[in-house]
Amino acid sequence: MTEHFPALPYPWQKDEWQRLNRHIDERQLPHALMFSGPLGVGKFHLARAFAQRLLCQAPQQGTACGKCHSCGLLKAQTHPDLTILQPEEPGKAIKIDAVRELTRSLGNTAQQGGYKVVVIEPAEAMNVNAANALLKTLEEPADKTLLLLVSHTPSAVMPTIRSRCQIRPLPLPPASRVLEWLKPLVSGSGFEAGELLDRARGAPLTALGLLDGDRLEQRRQREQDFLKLCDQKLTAMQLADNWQKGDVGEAIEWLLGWLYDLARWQAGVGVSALDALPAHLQQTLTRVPPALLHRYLEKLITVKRQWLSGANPNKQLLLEELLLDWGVVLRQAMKAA
Amino acid sequence: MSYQVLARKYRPRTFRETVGQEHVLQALINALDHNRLHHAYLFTGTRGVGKTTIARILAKCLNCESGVSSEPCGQCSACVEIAENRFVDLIEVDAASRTKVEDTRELLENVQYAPTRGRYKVYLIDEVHMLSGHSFNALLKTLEEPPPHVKFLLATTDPQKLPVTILSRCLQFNLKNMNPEWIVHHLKEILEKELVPFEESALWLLGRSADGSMRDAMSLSDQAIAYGSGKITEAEVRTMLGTIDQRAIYEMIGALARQDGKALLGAVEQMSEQAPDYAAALAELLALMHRVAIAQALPEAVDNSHGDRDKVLELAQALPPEDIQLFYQTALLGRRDLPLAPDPRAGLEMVLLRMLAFKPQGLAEIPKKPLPAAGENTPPTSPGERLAEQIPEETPAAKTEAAPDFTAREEPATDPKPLADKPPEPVAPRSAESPVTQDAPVAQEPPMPQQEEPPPYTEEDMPPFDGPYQPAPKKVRERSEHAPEPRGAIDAPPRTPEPQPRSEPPAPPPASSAAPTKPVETGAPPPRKKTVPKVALADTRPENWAQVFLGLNAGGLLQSTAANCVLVGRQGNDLSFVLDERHSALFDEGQQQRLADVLTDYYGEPVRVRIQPGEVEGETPAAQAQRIKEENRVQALEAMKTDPIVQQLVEHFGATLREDTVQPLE
Repeated sequence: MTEHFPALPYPWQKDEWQRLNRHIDERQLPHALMFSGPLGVGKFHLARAFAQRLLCQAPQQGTACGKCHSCGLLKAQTHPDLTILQPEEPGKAIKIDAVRELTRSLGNTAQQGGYKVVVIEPAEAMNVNAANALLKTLEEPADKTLLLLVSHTPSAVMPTIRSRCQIRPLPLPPASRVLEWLKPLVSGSGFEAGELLDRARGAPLTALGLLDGDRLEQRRQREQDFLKLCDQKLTAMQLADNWQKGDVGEAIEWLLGWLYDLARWQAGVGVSALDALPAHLQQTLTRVPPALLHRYLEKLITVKRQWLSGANPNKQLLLEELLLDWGVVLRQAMKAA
Repeated sequence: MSYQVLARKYRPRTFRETVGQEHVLQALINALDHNRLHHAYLFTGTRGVGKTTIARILAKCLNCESGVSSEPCGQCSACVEIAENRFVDLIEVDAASRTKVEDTRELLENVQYAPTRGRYKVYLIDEVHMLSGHSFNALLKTLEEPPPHVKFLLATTDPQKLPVTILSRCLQFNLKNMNPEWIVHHLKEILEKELVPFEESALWLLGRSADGSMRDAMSLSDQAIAYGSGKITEAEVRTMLGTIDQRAIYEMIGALARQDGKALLGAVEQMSEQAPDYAAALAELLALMHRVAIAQALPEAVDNSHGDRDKVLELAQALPPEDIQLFYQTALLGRRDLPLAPDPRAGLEMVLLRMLAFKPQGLAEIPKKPLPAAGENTPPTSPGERLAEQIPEETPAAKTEAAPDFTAREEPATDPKPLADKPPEPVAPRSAESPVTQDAPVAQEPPMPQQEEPPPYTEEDMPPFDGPYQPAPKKVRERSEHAPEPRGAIDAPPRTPEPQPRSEPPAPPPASSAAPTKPVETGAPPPRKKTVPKVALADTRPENWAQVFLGLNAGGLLQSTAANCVLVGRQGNDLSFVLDERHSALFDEGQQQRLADVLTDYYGEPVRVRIQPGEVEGETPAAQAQRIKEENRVQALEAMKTDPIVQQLVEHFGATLREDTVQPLE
């Protein structure tokens, strides 16, 4: 994603943005906010935009001006009063040392004379020690301090942390609103905005992220190949060979997603990708016994867990096994016919 | 001064302002008024019930310039400074960020000096559970006998993390959770002071979802005020709190009961409009199922604390208990797998759909324990259960390892007998019970051949073994339309690796050593009268003695003796036998009479029996069975060798047939 400066809230965040601005106007801004919601709705973006708004010295129409000294510092990402606390590596924990450093710096007055803003993303990444170390500061920070916590799964955050924050849920926006925003962005990429959003399961930023690189192209290829396998125009061995050249983790992820869709589709929910299949394939897929499908999913989950835990299996063998098993599942479905 | 959230602004400043916790306050007030102060207090309780608050008030009471009393003046400089958090002699330590022993030592270095301004030096150590072990130990001596001018106040949510040595040096006060009435009452007062218009029903909603914590209630009120732009209304609070919509949860269970997949996903859809935390939703679902399960077992035990008693009872009626158990198990597993799902919502949906997919249906008999079906890959239950079935006479150690499952405790008591003389019975109903235990027969196989080996079975003997054993997979197939073959392919990996070896390898040894000891030692087939046509006494001849034997109801040594006898003659009701010398070691005269009794039973008329050890001519029943078994084996081996698939394997892959592993099926 390209960084615009100053960051503006996304269209579906307007309500929340206005509410936050009203807090500033009425001088009722709490000291700790937690943005919670699914991945890819722009929580972090909102937090950053709001931090910029708060630190800007001459905000215009409720957003950062982009011209003042503060904005200059923000633009250069060197603003001394804005701390963004993230795990050192994505997926790792936020450690206690970082939090201690943070609490120490929050004890000082703001260097630019305004607010001190901290963005913690994601809040659940703080390990037990780190979270505990934050408690006292989170409860009673010094004046003019704002802690913005971003959380994808609030239930994974310690209740003692949650109880100290005002929680602001940011749900998945309605598709119509997202499409308005997404359509101009994806025009010319050769992909349908609706399709992208569907694949991202409604999360707008995830949908946009799909356009990065040739991931979508790969996805499409993957899907076509897989359907050929279902149609018995391709053997499991060939397909495994195709897949192992790419990112195997993503292939597993894709397969998982596709099978989830299949399960939902079987339960009677419309899934556009599956509704568009030729009739004979649809027929076969409807007949996949649900119990067998779930068992297969279970296996896939296990494989995924192993894969994520850093196991280094023989890719070809792994994929062959998965796909051959799927072949068995399909055969059962055909037998049932 | 910038805005302070309600929870901070209305932090109580005197004991009178605090809400609830009378049991603690009373003790403290009395101690203060009678000057019987302990030197170390420990306040425990869940988040937001007033631990830090009470500790601060106590500090004020101790240092108020108007003297130590339970009613600090609030006017003097000490009180004001404490309220503003800048009193020199109140040392508030954030133990969670100063966990190291160096920090603690630094802190303790100053304990010896007299307070600068106040009467007491008060050390308020918050989040004390986070101190390191060394820190705790460094604290011990000082905590036990501090100088007279020092008071320690510790506060934590997690007292069980404190070492007992610390606990025993402190006076511990456990603060209770706030009940909704108190919360609502308190919120009402505050909102009136804040001039925020509110609806009382909204406050109840807030009070309940605060779940016992005043601070949560205050944070939620703040949020509600922000959400409702300056006022609190029920409708808005409802949408705001809508993180987990209980109605959606009821709807989910309802849809499960109706087996309506579309409605099920509809409920998730409905819920998704409020950006719920799906992990929390799953937890809610578990909680509700828990309540429904209680309602089924003990309808009167369901309380109405959530205001949904009738709903729970209704659901309890709509669903059979075994379904609830199965769903619960599935949900538990699903919770583990939720982080692995492409997105949490899909994860929740999948858990729900899985409940539908594995819901027991079309079963002839209602399973007693549906758990294995759901927890088919939960290591603790199913292998444990299987272990318990197969090897009841297991060592206690192995048993405890197997599982703390009640089936494990229950089965061994009843099983040993049936297993010894008719093994299949306990297995068969179980394998029909659920699709999953279908591999139970597979696991059962290893012990069985061992049992059969020495006591050769005639063809008629096999059915009891095979009878209930074969239909099992068939039943399963009817149920879920699975042939065993794909199941094997798919099943094996998802099962977590470690239980598998546990469930199978241990099985054979006990089977050979413990369970069917007698038949193994004696080399005699257990007689089975049902399967063999009865022979009349008049027709009894040496040739058909084997047939008679198979109809006998003899056991133990007698059976062994009889199996190794040959009938040499019959005169009227007198039967004379010759016992094979090689098997006569355990023979004694008394067996003659016992065999006579058994035969009398068999023929229905009195017989006398004489047994003489000696050289046998002809074939004893045992030898006959052995021969038949051998013939079968040869036949089976032949069949394997001529099997086209096997031949192909040999031809193309250089396979060799391990002849000793070939077992005849019938």
